[in-house]
Amino acid sequence: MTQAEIHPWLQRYVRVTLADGRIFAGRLTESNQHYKVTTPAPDKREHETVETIHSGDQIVTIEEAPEFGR
Amino acid sequence: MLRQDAEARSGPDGGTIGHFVVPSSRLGELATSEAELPPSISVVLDRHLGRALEAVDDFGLVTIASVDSPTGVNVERGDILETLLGWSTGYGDNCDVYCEVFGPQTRPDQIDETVHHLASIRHAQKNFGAKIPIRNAPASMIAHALAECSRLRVPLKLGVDETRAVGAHGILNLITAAAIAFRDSDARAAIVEALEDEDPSSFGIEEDSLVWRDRRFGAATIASVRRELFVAFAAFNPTQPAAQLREVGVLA
Repeated sequence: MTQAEIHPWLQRYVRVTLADGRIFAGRLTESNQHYKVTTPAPDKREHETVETIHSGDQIVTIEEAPEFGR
Repeated sequence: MLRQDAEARSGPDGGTIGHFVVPSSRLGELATSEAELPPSISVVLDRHLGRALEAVDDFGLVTIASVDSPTGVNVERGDILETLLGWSTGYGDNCDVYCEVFGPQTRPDQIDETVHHLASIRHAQKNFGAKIPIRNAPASMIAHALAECSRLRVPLKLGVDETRAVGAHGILNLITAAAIAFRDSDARAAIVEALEDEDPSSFGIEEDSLVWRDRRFGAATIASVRRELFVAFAAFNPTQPAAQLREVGVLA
């Protein structure tokens, strides 16, 4: 996807599908020309995870992913 | 049970234990118990839904994190879903509601109907999810429910009586099957194979990834699966899952 296509999704909780089939759910941010999906900890006793996407070309789709429950 | 739960929470694997599960008809026992109460509970509603929800409303000792629809009851019958929806709206979004999507006699098309209904409810009520009671369910039915929930973005809780690490729907089988369904809800054959795999050597942890045969799921993928699809796991014995996972070498 192009930067223009990705830009509206930044800072939102989304579901990102990559060209290699991997899917990540979390908050999408941009930093140093990379994109990051930060998935909150599934449980408060765990840590959040961050997946770095090195180029927008890797991204096939972005869709809204409303968080479950609270 | 409360004493066993308190002991388990203060033990080395206490961090792996979630909500204490109580049938709504036994909520009163928590009030009279002298044992230490758990920080939060999950309530399984009894078949008399009105009375069960009243018991939940009247309970104020600890946080009720979620309620489950009555065990073995088709939520599409009568007005169960509508009742839960109306109750949840009044109770607030801070209590999740899980609805069983199949029992021993359920057909695949009935699973589809319930999951579709839940997906529709979730447009307005994000705290609704599906519950899949594993028990003796065939892998094909569990796979069908997992795939359908993944396709329609319905989070689910899996419930088992006896836990195992691997085999007969062990914990590693279930998380692997959920991860496959999350990535591709059409991969039914692979989901079934992951559920039916009884060989512990098929599963492993390498660096930060869960590995099953030639498939690899990284930490961010597993976290996403646990946030979006396989959001809860209910079992009877609080200490058994961690001990079993340690036994097969996937937990330090």
